[in-house]
Amino acid sequence: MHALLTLLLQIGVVLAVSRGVGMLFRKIRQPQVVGEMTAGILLGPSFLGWVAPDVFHAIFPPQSLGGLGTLSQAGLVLFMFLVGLEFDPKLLRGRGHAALLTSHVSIALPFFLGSLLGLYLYPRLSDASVDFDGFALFMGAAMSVTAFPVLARILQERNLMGTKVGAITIACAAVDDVSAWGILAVVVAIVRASAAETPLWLTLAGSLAYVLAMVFVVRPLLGLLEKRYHHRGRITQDFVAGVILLVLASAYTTEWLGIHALFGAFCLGAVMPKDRGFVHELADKLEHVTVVFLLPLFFASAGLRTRIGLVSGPEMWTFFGLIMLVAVAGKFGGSTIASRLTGLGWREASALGILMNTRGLMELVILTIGLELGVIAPALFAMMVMMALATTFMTTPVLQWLYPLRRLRESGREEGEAADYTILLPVSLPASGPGLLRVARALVPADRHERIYGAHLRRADDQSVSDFDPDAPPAQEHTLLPLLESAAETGTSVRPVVLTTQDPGADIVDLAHHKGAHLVLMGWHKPVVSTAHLLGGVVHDVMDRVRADVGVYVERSFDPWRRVLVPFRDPEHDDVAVEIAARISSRLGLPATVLHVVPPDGDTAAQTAALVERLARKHPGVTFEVKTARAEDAPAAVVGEVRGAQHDLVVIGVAPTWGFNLGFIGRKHERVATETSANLLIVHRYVEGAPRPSHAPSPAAAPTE
Amino acid sequence: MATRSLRTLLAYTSLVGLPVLGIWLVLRAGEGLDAPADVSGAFETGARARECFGVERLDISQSGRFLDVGTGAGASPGRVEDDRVTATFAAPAGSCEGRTVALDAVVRDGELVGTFSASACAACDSVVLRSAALVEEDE
Repeated sequence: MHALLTLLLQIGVVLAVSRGVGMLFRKIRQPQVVGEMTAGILLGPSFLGWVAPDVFHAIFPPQSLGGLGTLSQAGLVLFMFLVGLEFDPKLLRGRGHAALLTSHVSIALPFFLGSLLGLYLYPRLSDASVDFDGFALFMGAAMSVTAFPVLARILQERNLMGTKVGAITIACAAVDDVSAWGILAVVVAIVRASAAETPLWLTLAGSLAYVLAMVFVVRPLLGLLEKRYHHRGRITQDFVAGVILLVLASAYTTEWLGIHALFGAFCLGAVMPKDRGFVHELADKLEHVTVVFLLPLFFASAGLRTRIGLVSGPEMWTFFGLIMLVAVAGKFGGSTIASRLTGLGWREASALGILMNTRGLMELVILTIGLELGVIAPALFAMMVMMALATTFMTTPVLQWLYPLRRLRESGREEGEAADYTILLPVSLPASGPGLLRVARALVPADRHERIYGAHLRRADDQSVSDFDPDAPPAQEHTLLPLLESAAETGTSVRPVVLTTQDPGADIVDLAHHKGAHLVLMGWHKPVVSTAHLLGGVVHDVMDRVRADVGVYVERSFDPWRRVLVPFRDPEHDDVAVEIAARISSRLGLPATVLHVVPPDGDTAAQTAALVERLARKHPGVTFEVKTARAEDAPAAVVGEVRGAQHDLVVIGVAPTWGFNLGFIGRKHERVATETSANLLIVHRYVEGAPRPSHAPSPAAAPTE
Repeated sequence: MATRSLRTLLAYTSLVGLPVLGIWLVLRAGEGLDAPADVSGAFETGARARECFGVERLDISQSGRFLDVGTGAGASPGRVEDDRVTATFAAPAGSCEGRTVALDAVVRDGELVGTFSASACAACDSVVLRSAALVEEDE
């Protein structure tokens, strides 16, 4: 096959498999990157080459791997720049001696244990072409790595950034990251010097000069880039090209000096200006193509070199067991003991330890360098890759066991006063915040104090490497700003909450529970591509599971409401709509109409009289205009009334009668929403012990009282 | 305050200082260690071995003592102890096709010097091997 066709096929297969496996791993609460690393192994000789050797050789013929390897190396250079860009000395400030001691121990102890293991492994898994010093130092460096990007992602996904454990861990990981790359640079220099490629003194002197130049010359000059960014207000394509050229120049310099190109890329990222907007926008421009496109190629490239089949026999598996023992004892044990000594409780110290034990793709990067240099042999490379995967994979479940989310959330639980009426507003789009607040304010009963939470749940898989900022308060969350501004204008107190989520429906339910919400009020936005129905997706999940009333507000206009309409047929579903309409009517002084829809063969007069009596009894302070409509097609009657009387707010219960159902059959029946231009508030009442909406039988045209 | 400083100092000494000292000791201790000879690479087997066993070259991938010996028709495990290389594989072709072949060789000045011997194949009881590595293993 033509070389380009082969390369395109390889890229396609790698991307498809890595996204697919990544998605599966997200389902089991593992970071996407762990899935992508696993995908790389699956595509290599360890799995695909084993189960389908013909397919493997057709997709990855040995002579074709150069292109894939080169692309993956280029991707790695960009990725290391992003990792460096993420490094912010601000992370270290104010973390005190706990972070300092823990980070130093989390490097020194595993480094020592790794080199000690080298004493045992060198005569068994190395050969005479490798110098012992290089081997032992490399094993030490490989054991002391922490995967800063993966760790940051886990902390974000579990919303640990704001906790003490999260703050100390991220500071330690930042120190480890810089230290590990510094140590690795020295190790690479020693190994290359022993291979007589470059004299060691020249490499070390050149590296020192390079680092000094980066800190004292390049860094101040890069400040000009930041000024230019602020002057222009955005990052242009020329700007991005300039930055990439600088990355390439830095990587070229360090490769030429003998300390590997990746160190130069990382170093340039580390000395870049750390203005939040600048870093975020620059990372945004580079990150997607790097992380989504190029990084999986690196994982595949590493996977193609990983031959797990080489690890066979009791002797080899004993070596692997020792490697695991040393890796976990050094990193987990060292970090846990050090942080315990600095005053953290055992549980917190263990959580920090398991987080620091995360090695992830940084280990893979270092191991690949070791394999290329010839410091480690293929079997040892395979064992170390398995160790990297195992230590990364174990992080989330062990952390969950040591430091369950439930415990975290319980500690953050806020008990409101008994007189409070608590409303949770999950906001996914900035523009929907003010509209939801308007509804929320109108729904607070007159005799209760309002307690409103504005929550933004970030999708874990949509976050960029540069998104996290442990010091950024929730009130600075871009999505919540319009809501909070609107709250300030109207003198309403809104408490912002920002969470990272993999399952928004479940997390909204959880949040509502822990905030003691009486009402969860959600917005609805027309999807760009599909025509998903109103009560599907996250709304469905919340309505089905939350122990609180739920409202879904479909906003068509931000103009003040003038006339409220409540369709009524079945008290079970429609009483809550009447109650909500009564609140809005009495709070805002709006006229409210109840449209009583009865079957064509029903006793209209008697049923309407019963309804009027019911309304007067339940809502004595509110005057409803009651209209009656005989109709088989209830939604059509509502649409006709809305159009005829120009109601601009319809409050309606969740009931098949109105075409609003939690089941999927509601999709084509939501005519009240699609055939009118009124604002729509769909409400569902939570009743303790009642069957959940999606499980309840669909009532036939239920009779009214 | 003084107690806390003392505790931190002790923690630094024991958890950072000692490991650093330990690394230095490990490097000293490793000075006398020997690893097995480097035997990775591709080695031509010679005309006689081709006739007897159908093997043109041996592609040896090495992980310390452990070898993965490729014969063109699959790979078999082998070992290297100091500079002595041993491996067994099934002859893929030639006059001893299907017989078990044992390789016993030593590495001298970059050359693999030794013999192949096939069980129950009298014509190829002891085939001499003397070959320098053709190319470096691209690992």
